[in-house]
Amino acid sequence: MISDFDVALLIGVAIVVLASWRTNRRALLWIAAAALDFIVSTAYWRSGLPYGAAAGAFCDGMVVLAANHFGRARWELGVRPFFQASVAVNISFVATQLMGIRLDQDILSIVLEAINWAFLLFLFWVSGTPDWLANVLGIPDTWRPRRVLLRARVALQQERRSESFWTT
Amino acid sequence: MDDLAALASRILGAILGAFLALVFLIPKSRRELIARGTFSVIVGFLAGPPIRVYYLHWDSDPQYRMAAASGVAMLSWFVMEAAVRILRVWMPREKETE
Repeated sequence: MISDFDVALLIGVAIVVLASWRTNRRALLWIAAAALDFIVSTAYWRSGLPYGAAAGAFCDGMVVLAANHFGRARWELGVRPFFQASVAVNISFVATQLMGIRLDQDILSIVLEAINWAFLLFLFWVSGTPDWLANVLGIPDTWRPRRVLLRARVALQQERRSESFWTT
Repeated sequence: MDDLAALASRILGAILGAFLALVFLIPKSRRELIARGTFSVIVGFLAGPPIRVYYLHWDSDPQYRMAAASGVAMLSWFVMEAAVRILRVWMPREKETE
């Protein structure tokens, strides 16, 4: 029932949860949202019902709207592009199905898996663990790539500028 | 009964298309959401069938009706967003009252 890819993803999720536990507790909320999205869309897909990609797109879209509405910090709005990319991939797959173009389902799975991993990597970076690791390894914060990433992370920790469209 | 299914698939498709467009181009206010959503749903509902028949050459199955209405509704949202942005560049802003 659970494939090797699912196990690898679960390990990745466990690492990000551990990394975010003390520094960025709200990341757990978005991991939970992503997990719910993954479980619902995968259950729909594996049940054999038609247009699983369309159901996946709908679930991903709901996460985008949730991030837009409930997100407080800027990094929480940064969650949206990952799910928007997922929606784009899913609806492109549905479009190819409707146009009669036979596309291997594995291609869709690989691309979606890559987006999931990118999302986990983003949360891992936001948690600040890479900085802690860099300190442990003795990488100086004057090193340009590290400095750029650090500044970007600090900027993303700030409060969002605009309210959700639903409240204005 | 077939007419009812066709109508339902068109309405549902237009609403789903507007939802998908909302995911990509998030409005700034509730008012903007209502304006764009209404516009997209109406365009998707009305322009979906002719585009399906004359341009896409798809069958009249409910799934194709729904997909056509959805695609047109989504596209209309994007077109409206582009038009609004162009107008904002070209039209002078209103002077703020003190």
